[in-house]
Amino acid sequence: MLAELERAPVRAVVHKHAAFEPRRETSLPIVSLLGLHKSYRQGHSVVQALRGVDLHIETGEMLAICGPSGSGKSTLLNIIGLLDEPDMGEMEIDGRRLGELSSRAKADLRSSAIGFIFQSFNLVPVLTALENVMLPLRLRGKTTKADEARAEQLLRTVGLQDQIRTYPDRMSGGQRQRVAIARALITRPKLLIADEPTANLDTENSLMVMELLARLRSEQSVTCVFSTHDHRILKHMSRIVSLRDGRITLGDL
Amino acid sequence: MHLLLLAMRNIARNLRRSIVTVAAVAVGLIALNLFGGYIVNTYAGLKLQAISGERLGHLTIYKRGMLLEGKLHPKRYMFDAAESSRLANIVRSAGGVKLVSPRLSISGIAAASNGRASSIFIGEAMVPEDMATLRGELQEGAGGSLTPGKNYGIAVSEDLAKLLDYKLGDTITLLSSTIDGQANALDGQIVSLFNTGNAATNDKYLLLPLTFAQNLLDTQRVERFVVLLDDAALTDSKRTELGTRLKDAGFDVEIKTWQELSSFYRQVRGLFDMIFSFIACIVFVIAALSIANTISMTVVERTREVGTLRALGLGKPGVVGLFATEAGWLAVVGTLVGLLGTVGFAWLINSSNLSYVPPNSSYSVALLVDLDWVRIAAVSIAVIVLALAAAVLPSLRAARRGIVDALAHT
Repeated sequence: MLAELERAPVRAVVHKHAAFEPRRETSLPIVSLLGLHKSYRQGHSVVQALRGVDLHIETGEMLAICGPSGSGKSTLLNIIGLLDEPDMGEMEIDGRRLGELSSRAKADLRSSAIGFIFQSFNLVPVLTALENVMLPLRLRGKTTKADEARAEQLLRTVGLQDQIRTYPDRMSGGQRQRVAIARALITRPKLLIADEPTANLDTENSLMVMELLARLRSEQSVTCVFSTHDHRILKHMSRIVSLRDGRITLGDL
Repeated sequence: MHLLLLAMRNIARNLRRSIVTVAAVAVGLIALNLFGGYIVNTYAGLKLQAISGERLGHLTIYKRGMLLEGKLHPKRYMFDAAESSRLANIVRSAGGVKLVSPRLSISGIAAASNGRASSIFIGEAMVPEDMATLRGELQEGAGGSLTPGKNYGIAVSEDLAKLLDYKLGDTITLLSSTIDGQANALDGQIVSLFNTGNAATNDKYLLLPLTFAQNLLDTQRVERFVVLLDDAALTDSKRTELGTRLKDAGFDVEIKTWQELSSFYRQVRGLFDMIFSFIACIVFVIAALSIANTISMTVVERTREVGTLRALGLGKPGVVGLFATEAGWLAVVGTLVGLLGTVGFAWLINSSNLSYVPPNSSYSVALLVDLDWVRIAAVSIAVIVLALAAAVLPSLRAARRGIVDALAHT
């Protein structure tokens, strides 16, 4: 297996799995992963980040993926967020099989159905809070007054009504992460992906951000998937899966 | 947030680096534009000097073969009186012709006023009445002048006058061979002393009335006709038209333009054009490298931001477009600053009364700059296009990088 991966480990080829079928339950899964493998090169060696991950995420869930550094959390999140592709395995998001989609279609799906919150906020420093929130819409085309009103409403929702025209460098870490949350929600995504969203925040801001996300999840009916090893935020989760050495070891499915 | 505004804000992020880049573009353009303006002014001066100062007019009509064998067989290649009259009428009837002036070249020996010394001379004979028309924008007396109606009045170059101790009003004795090879001498009176502007000719050049030269050569013939047009821009088309008309009338002639006859103009223009191209290449390379360097550094610094934008929906062409727009802004701002600087420095130079003595010249000329807006526009557009091209490579590098890889960049 390792020899096979070394030959073509970084090609994003998704192999069809004969047994793959989405689960039929009352709440349909928004994400279904079956037998995901992912490896990448690090210098001259090949690192196997995921070794056969099976995971179903139900609509409306607030799921935490826990695990130590190097366990594959970020890789799994990147694949779920369509930022990266698995080497092997089946994957379905919002009812669409990824193996059948072109790169363009995946990019469209990513920008329309998925919102991202990054560990380091990743706001554009030359844009105000409002402009940062509007950015995903701007990148998709022209925006309307209604879009701007919604962006302002989102900033009010995250408690930044007084910071609408403020640039990120004049905000605290907690405020920046709240702008990032508003930005992630502006496209009305079905799936919100947050990679260590509280890693750069103090306890007070971490709790505030998590309470905000929990509230928004219920208000906006959005499915949230987090990667974290911050135990302070786990109480907000509806489910926790643990990842170790590229395999789910606890709470899978 | 429009892409143009976003790009503008991005180049303001590292203001010092952007200012250095803009300054590199602007200084290069100022240097190039001012040199371009200087050579345009020089070309205009040389053109005026050739057409009016050297009295070449716009077109010169010779019998075919005159330029090659005219010295050996002058009679064969000169226009006799009947031909001259007919040819002049045909040329005048073409329209757009200001002057048709017959010419004769002559050379020989000029004797000193005390009769003890002599020096060779080369002379140009023309109708004194044509002089004012031909002089055009040249100031009175520049390049020598003959006195209308005074058929023995001769203009002498300054250094020749010094050599032979001539003063205005003195009698000058000219010795030459007639068209049939006999020695002949005539006395004239000096009516003008002038500087030819060329050290090589200022000690031997004379201007003579046509009839005086014809008497000295013992002929009624003329060597060529100089044609002055109403519009210099029609030089080439008029050459074709006159060639056709004269051929139809039975003349076998060749017609030369003033550019073809003024070797000095051609040489200077060739030299300056080459220097301009060389400087332009240097400026273009500096501008392109400055902008490419700035964009490359920006791409590296903003790798994670590019990853974020890609994750949020910006496509690869969008990334290239963003950085190309930033490069475009740098070039446009640099060009605008360069234009302002060009106008300012041009004004400063033109109002400073600077002058210099050109190589092989016997007098100083004003150092002036005539801004050539067509050339400036072409250079500015070239710089902007180059800037966009220079941004493509680093932009493509940013666009091709994987999103995950870019997001992980520190």
